[in-house]
Amino acid sequence: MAGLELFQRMSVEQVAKWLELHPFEIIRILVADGSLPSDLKLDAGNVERIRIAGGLETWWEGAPSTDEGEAPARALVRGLLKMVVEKGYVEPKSVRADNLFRGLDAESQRNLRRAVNALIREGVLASSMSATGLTVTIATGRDEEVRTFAAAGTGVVDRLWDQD
Amino acid sequence: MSDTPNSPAVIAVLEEIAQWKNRADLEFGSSMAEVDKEEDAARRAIEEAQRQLLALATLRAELRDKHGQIAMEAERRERGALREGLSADRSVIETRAAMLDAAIAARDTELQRQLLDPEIAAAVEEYEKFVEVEASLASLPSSYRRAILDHHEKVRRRLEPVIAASNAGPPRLELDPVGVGVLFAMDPPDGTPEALVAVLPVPFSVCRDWADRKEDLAALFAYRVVAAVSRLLGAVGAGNAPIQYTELAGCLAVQVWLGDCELQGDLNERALEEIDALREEAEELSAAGIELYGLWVRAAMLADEEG
Repeated sequence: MAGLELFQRMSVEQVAKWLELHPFEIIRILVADGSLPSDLKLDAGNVERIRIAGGLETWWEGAPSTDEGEAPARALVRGLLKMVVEKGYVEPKSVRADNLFRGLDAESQRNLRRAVNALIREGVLASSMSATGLTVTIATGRDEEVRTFAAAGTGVVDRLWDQD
Repeated sequence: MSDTPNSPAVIAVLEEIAQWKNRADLEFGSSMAEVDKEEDAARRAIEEAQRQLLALATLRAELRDKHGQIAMEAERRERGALREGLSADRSVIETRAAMLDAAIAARDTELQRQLLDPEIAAAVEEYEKFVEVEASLASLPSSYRRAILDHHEKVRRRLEPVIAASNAGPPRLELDPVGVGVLFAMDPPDGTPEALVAVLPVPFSVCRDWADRKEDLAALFAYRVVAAVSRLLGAVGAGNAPIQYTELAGCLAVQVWLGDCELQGDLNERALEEIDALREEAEELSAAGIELYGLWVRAAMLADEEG
């Protein structure tokens, strides 16, 4: 038989695990949206508001396929940049940073985070803060390089593997 | 050449002159000795005064040094007192969090017991079945869907007391109220602020290990302060300011970079207003007998001690 959870609204922690967001991010999104319940208990409507107001998307459904002879980590970065290009996230249009990783397993997320940080340091990607969280975009003037790497798997991102 | 006889009168005069000169010489010698003596005394007095001046200058430097040490010691004690205060407040919250969890668990056990009543159990089963098929209702003919919804509404009404009780606010602990503080600081303290920090008396693990720990009173406290800081930033036109969560003396610190924002409004006043609003809203803090207050301190008091 079902327990009380059948009737109870969700905790911030439950929703955070479900949406793969830090609880503090959940709070910030709901405050920015003006829809944080005073008792901090969330229902399906709140979760939908978090998705919409926070711009949450799940980009991955497992690891990407690799080209012949391509290392999985490289395929991951290429797959990510391909999606960023296809979705048109070139400055000034930006995407929530955690969308880049949602849906991947923990190790792939870790590898991709390192790559994204390196791309930000290289000036290929640019990051900025908003009321609902960190956002990322392809930096102005770097979109052609990213497009080339996304299509051919060579070019701008080669340096990432030299840095480690 | 004949001898000129000595004139007794001249001799006498010359002798008198000689005697007068002797007396004058003696007087001069005596006076000079007096002057030398006075001069020596004056020189010794000057040397003594110089020694005193030197001693006073040394004393002045020592006093200044000591005073400087007192100021540093006062800062050290103040910093220590703030850390001890944070630690004590954190203990209060952790203790009351455990008590509140126990009270909630006891209430849930009682509610679970009520669910075992055969009549309620049957209704729960029906409710559960409805939840399972709810998403597919739209594909059913409207009359059939209406009948299902009507029936579910009856089941829901039967379960209303249980539903309401399971979503009720936390049970009150009926303990003596105790005050805990959130520390705020701005840097620089005067002029246009570049950074804001709020230090909460909750363990940093509520942020770092949130996925592995139970969402307790400390976590809810942290959510509420994060919400208050977010509202505060929105109110002063700094909604997009970067926020970082760091550890300070084992506690959670919310750090905000304001250097790229043009602030509109009084950050000090608004922060305390947000804490007042938080106090009114936070039912779980009230249930646990926690009275929240905000305190502005100098940023230097929150920095780690040098050396």
